[in-house]
Amino acid sequence: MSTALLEVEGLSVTFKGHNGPRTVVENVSFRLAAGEAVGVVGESGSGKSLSMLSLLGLLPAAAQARAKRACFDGRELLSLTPPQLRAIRGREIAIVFQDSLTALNPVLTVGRQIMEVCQRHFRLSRTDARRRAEELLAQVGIPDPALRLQQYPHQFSGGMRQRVTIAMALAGEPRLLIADEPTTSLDVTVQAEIVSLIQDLQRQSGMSVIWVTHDLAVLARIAERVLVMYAGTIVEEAPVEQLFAAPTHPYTRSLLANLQP
Amino acid sequence: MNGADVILTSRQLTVIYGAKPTGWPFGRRPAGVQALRAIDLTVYAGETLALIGESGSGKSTLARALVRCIPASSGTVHFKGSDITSVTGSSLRALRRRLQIIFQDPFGSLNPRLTVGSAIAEPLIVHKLAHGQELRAKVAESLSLVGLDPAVAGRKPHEFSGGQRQRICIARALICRPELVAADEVLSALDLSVRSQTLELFRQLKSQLSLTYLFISHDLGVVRQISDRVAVMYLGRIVELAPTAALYSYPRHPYTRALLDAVPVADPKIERSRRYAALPGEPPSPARPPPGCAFHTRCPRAIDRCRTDVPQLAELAPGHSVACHRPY
Repeated sequence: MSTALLEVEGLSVTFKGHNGPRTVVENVSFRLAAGEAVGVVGESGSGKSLSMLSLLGLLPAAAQARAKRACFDGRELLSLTPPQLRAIRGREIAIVFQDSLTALNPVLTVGRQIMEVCQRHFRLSRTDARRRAEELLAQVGIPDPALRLQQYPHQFSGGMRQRVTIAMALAGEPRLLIADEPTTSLDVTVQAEIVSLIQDLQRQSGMSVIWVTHDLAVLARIAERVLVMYAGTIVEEAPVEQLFAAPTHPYTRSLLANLQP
Repeated sequence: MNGADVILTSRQLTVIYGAKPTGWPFGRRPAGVQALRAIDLTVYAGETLALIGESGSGKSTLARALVRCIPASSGTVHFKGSDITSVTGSSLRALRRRLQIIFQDPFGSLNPRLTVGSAIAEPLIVHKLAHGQELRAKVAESLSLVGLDPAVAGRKPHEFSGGQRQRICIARALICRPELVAADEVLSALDLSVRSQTLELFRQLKSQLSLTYLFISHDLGVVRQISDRVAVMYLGRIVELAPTAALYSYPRHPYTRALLDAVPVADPKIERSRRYAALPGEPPSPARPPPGCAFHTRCPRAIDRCRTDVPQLAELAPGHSVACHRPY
């Protein structure tokens, strides 16, 4: 394996609670090489999203993350100051969320929101930022980008809106894209398009992708390696072919059994 | 399905949303959105008929119009031979007992302030079917029917997980022993492992209580497992209607093909080597449907005729109908 872009060792996330602390992610370790696509699969509450959010410093206030190592390209993510983290977030690590409607600001045009990312990270002029935003919309397959830039999120369909959030994520030209269930609320036909889109973008730009999902079948296409999470820990990690052909953990087996009609 | 009793039929069933004139004196009369366009459909007693299609295709509207959850704008619905299109008042209430619906969101469809027992008992009270000891006995029976402990009747919905709540909704829908149940995306809010248990419960209840299901889902794998027949919908019309095995093995409508093809295959070797059949763009807006076949804007096989003539459902094989000028 080539050098790791992201190396996580012994990551735990703990919530403060009335009945004492509760650990919801426990001792999670994984490596991600540059340009690699890894899938994280698990049910709701398995801690898959929380582990990703903790790396970006996006945990809710009641939660705390600890790790032996959470090293992104030589930097310890968990010990960075907020300004240092802001320079990474959106620029080097970008994230696409499940619900594109809440991920976008409803009272700003789509163009403003994409331009904000370009201006924040690249100090572009307004004209250049607008041109870049237009390019990005075209890149994610939105027809008529110049017009669409001036529209608001509610004027887009679910699939198109998710493309906008992908365009926003790409605006920082990230080296790692975290896709947190980006197709879960979409129709299968639209899901197929979004999966192909992210795959094409990954090939073009050579970025790494972490694809978080509860749908193992999606990972068959996009992931090279799969981490299976259950109750806050990684219960199995394997190359995708091996995982589908010979799952070792009983939970993975039951996931696969549920997939086959 | 020949020889089976017909339980529900619709003729030219059309639903238009938002066509009521606004109260404003100079307000315009909105044209509305045609969510359903002249649906002719027959549901047989004891079958599971699945409705599939992308969001906005009209599958929920069709199920709701069939069980009189929403009124028809035109056309008719017959339930066991009698016209139920415009029944109101007490006869509609009597009908509700026989036609039930379960919704997608088990969090939104239970009142958080009612105990589970009173939520389940409500249909019995409304229809004056039981009271006192008998009521409690029936609630307990209904809870155990869906695999929950009757002792949970005193608890509130927030104490239950999504899967358990969906079971509570099922118990409530079944307590007055309906003949037909419309299940509207009942599994989509559930986790994969809970999903298969709930699916199994549906299957078991159907044979136990001899129910008929209208099963709406966008999960084509689930539909394949549970349904006897499948109706594929696109922009308010049924474009293909076939026995499940026939539909999955030999889809005749280009839209059905594209839909089935978009489902990821749980096998990395196949999945990596194949290219999805292109289904460019998204469904057109139901407010401004394209002329002719509504699918022609995305169809790989469209010819000139598709842009002008609306194709009608035609039976290409026994029980297998397709609305397409150029079926496979």
